[in-house]
Amino acid sequence: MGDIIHRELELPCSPSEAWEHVVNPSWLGDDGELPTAPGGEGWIHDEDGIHYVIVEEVDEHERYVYRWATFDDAPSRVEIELAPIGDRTRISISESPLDVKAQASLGFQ
Amino acid sequence: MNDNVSQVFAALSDPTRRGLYEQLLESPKGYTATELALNASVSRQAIVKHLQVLSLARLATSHREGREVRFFASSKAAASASTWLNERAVAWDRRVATLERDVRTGTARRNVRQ
Repeated sequence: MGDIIHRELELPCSPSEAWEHVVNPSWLGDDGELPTAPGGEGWIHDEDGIHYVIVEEVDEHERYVYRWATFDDAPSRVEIELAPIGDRTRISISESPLDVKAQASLGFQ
Repeated sequence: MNDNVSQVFAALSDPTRRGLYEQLLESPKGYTATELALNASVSRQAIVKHLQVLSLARLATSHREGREVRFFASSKAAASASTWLNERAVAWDRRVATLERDVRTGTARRNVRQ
């Protein structure tokens, strides 16, 4: 059991144009900030409340990885990958709870 | 939601544990570790550890029965994990639809970061 949630879609634009949309917080929530440097801290406000965001990996036009959590929800990691398909861009998104492997091997101690 | 959801996913991320949980689900009378070890490819000791992990994630409950402990599936934790998953899935459907619409209409709002 790897990703908990997985979504794939194709956008009718180049990866560089798709990238501008991906790192724009407007699709993730009503409002927010998404840094484009690893370690950057941001936030997304949506109907679940405020998700606090920490950016983990930034590979411009290819890959954007962050973890986020709300106050009352377990943290999770979101990986967004962009790949050119002809003159379109395939976006794959996955979200999985954080530390699943660590918890499993520690037996939750 | 809470940490228990992560525990449920972690507990069920192991194929052996998932198999044991499925066996428990199918048996209203439950199982002891010894019974489960009869047709398992891992040792009774390993099964005891897996059952402890399932119990910690509240996927199993147990009752002492003489020298043995009998384990039963508890579907409440699994149901709460499944609710968590459904809520996330709905949120991602909404986000993906917004992303597609933003790209189609070229109406990406300015990034509000400084």
